[in-house]
Amino acid sequence: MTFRTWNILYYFFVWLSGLLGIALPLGIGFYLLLNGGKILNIAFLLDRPHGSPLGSEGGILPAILGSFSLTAIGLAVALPAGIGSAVYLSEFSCSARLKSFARLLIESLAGVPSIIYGLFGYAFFVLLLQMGTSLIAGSLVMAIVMYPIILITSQEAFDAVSREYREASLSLGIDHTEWIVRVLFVKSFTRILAGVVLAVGHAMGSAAPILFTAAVFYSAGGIRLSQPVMTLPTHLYFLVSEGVSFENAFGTALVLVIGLLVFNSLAMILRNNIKE
Amino acid sequence: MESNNTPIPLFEIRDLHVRYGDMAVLHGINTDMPAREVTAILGPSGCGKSTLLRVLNRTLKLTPMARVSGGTVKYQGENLLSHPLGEQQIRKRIGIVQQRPLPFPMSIRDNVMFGADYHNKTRAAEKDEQVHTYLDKVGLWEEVKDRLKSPGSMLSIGQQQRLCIARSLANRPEVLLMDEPCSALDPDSTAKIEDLILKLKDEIAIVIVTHNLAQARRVSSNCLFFLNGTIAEQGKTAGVLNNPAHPSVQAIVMGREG
Amino acid sequence: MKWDKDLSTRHGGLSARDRIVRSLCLLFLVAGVGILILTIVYLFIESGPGKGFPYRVLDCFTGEWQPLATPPKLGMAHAWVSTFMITGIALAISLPIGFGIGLFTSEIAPLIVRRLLTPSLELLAGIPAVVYGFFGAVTLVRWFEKVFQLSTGETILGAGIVLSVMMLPFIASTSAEAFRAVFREYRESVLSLGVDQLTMFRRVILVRAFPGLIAAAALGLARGVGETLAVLMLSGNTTAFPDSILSRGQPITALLATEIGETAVDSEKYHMLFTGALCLMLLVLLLNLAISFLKKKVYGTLYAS
Repeated sequence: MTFRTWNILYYFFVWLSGLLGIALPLGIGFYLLLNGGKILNIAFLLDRPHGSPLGSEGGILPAILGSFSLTAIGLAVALPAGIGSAVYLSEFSCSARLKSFARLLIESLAGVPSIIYGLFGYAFFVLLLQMGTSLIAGSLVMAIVMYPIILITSQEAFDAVSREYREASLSLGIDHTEWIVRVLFVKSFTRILAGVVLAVGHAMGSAAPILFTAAVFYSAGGIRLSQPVMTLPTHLYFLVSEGVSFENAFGTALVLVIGLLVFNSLAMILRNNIKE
Repeated sequence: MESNNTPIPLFEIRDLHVRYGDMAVLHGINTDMPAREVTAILGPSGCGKSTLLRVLNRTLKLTPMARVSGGTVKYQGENLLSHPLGEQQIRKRIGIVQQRPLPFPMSIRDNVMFGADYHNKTRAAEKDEQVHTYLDKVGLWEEVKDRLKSPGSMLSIGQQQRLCIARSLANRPEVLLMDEPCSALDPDSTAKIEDLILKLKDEIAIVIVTHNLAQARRVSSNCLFFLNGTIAEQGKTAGVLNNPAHPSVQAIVMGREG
Repeated sequence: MKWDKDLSTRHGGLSARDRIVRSLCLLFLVAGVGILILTIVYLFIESGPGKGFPYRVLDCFTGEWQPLATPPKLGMAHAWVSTFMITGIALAISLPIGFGIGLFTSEIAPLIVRRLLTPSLELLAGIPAVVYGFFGAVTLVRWFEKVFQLSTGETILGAGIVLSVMMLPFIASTSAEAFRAVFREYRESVLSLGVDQLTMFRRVILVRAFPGLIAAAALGLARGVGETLAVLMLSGNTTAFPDSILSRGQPITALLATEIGETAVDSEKYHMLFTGALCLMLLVLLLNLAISFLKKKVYGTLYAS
């Protein structure tokens, strides 16, 4: 074959891959929408699971509430810890060595599979600290999963604020706290928010960290720290693996995907709004 | 307190050395800067002029790797680099205006009062009055009085620079350092800032770094000419610029203005 | 002259308030990093270090899994083999297509298509694993049952295919980053010689971007071996040793997720499961370190900064 043919084949392959990258999410999205759309209504969102086997009828309200409370409590722990650590690394740490070491460590740990953190949470929070399979144990594991992501994005956001601002602020004789709160946080707010939204979306969709720390197949009661909860991803998992109801599974998957779509789009819009 | 009879100059700099990592930026600066005068610092780019301002404002340590490696600086007779007042008070007293105007992410009003609010808690009415005073001083009041709540970044570059000067002045400094304050500005805004310097010089001491020899002539009475990290020539501005002794300074002065 | 009251301290330029903030932030950092390190340490403790530990690690990779036999056999060889078969299939599909997407976004794609592709890849990355698992279960698994005449359609191949879709956005974005940096440097000077795109890619771009592509592959591998829910739902979850890509299997993550809740604490099986988890974590940590190193190499040589 000639160079020309090979070059055309090269173009063809690259275009094909690119179009596949667009077609795949659209395909998965439409497939879920077509199959789950008919079950999705207000009652499905606001009802508890019913029927026999349990979950074959009714809705997913406890799972929605469980997912939200898990991530909310996790975020309440991870957000101050992540941003505080990033502030220390970019404002107060004197040694560049410490900074790059901490950064390397945290980046490596951010990539550790979440099932590992789930196992740790099970052995440490559930068994050793005797929290049992509970909302609090699951939330703490969620916090561990979110912490490195929040730290890394906040630190990147701080780095993106020009050093000239730091000098201009501190040259007025104000202290570091004043500069951090009134200038640094304000300038980096959008970037941090985008990162946090992404971290929350990621945590809300993952089942592995909470499978044996917080999740149950069915909980009738309300949301209590010491009690296990239902969550959307684990509910979907139980519905499919026990073969309870594929119809409700489609509905649950659709709710999960739409919810995360909102989160991810929000993060994207925020990131596109960043000036400079 | 006349400057001629004052025994203590504003800054006494003796054998000052500054390094960025392994690179010496200032080696052996010796000068006295008189109080109540405008001192111009001239010289080609990269010869350490801004570095000297950072030493005086105590912001040098914010530059990574930079440090004073020798010498002393006295401010009103006291050692500046370990001044009993501490670094924050020194930065308040010795204000600096940077080359590129950087309004903070807040309203025009809050920008003006940013440092002042920190140093002295003021009541709201008093605050409004001060905002008026300092914006008026830099000639910005008439231009922005109807939009004090809008963000500082909405202003033009020339207005932003005057806003930054107002922000430094609101701190009520004793000395104002200016690092090429007009290099990013159009001629009209430059003229406004030069007028402002002439107006301010009766109230506070001013040290201005500039590239522009004509500007140095217009605003300053005392002058330091830097070359490669040392002072090549110093004295009254007219003297330095009309009859320089140093051959390189001569070449620059003649080349630029001749 | 009267000095104002001093708000700052004499040394370090930190006010009293700054010091509180600094201590608080340091506390957060130490606690956060401490917990992450505790994870490694605690996994190690739970894996029962001591006399039998080296033997247990060896057994973990080579032995058979028959926990109900007497004495119980607790090797996880079948799980590691499943994991690497599934991840291998996923990489084999995902690497060429991911690099193709990387090339597409960094060089070939018109601006409009690029604008469409970037968010759709982000959406692909945002779909949770459990949804991928479900999606695979209702499409591939049912389809495989018909096509290959299987009694249950859960196969290593199916899990690998779905996993390849999950890896795709990560491989695409990492390789696109590497390609973009290299193209920016060489595009003009290479194309000015009148060669075609393929030649430029083959002779210059591929060579210079190679460490970046290895980093992309390592990232895919790290994601793949750690992925849990999707492979748990699609691989069939059987403890038998997989003998072909159409047989069922049980990757290590699926084994951990299935067994840990039903295992007595401090039993030999419990220690073995944590040994497996520890090995998995160390493997992924090693891959992550390699990725950071490789990335530094790509961007370090291109832009000495």
